[in-house]
Amino acid sequence: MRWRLLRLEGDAAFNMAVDEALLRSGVPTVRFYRFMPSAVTVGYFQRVESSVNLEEAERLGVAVVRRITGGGAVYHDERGELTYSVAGPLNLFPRDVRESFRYLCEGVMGVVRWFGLEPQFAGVNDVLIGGRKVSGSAQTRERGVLLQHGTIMYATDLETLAKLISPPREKLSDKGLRSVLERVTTIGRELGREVGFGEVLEAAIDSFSFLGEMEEGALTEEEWKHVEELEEKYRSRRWNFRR
Amino acid sequence: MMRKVMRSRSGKTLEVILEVKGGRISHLTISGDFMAFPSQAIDELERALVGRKAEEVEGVVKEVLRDAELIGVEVDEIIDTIRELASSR
Repeated sequence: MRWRLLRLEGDAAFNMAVDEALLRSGVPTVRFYRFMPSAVTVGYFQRVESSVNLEEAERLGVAVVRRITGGGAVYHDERGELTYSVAGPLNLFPRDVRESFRYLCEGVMGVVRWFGLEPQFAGVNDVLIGGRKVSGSAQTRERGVLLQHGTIMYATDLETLAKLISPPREKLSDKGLRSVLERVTTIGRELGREVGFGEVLEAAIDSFSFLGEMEEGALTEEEWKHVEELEEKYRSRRWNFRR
Repeated sequence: MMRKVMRSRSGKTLEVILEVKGGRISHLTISGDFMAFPSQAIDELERALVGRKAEEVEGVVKEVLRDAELIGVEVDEIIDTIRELASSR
């Protein structure tokens, strides 16, 4: 199986539009990207007001964009997080949703190992180091195509993350900054040194090669058309605040 | 408008906002950090529950989510949360 390797990145609306275009085309693709500038994405089913501190987001000029995938709110730090996405026909992945998460998270686990650290797979879609979350993934399936995307935090500013991702009232009591630092980590923090995007990208390309051969490529003309059309959606309040 | 946020057994959050008029659900939003396959199942459920009474909630939810796969929330948690709000005065 040959995979198209895509290195295409931009702001949150552009990034989400590209991922949805991959879901539409179904061309087997592995994509690595950053959010430029930093942004928050919320899960398909989330209410923005209940999951993001909007005042803080506005103060920091951080955009909030709804994903097409479920799950929770994510802070994508331009200088500290690599996002991956994998798309392709369903028959390339385990049919069972949980098994397919486990299968694709192998790519994330490999990145952690590449740095000499020991990853743990937790729940359905999380990867931890020493019990702290370093990566979360989300997935959707449509018309015979699977799209999974997820984060790999290598130098995310966890204080900003804690401020932006406000948990619903019921959870507030056991959270706060200290608790975020106890539950979330980055590869750089675990290594006790600065980690750059370049090495994480190298690790990711290497690790996701477990899927098969990868060849650098570009979007097709049709996919670009979809990106343009979808970008509009991801820039609209109607979509981003629909719940 | 009534609102309830609950922590699912799996640790994820389920939030329901609901309005009842004349004993029937007139507005409903189901949200949270769970996942649903296909994702349209939740949108469909919101539509299907409008105009229904509290006693109909269980049947409608079970029917609409029959073939859906939920991760992070259980069907009975959705039923209980919506039913509780729909039957409160």
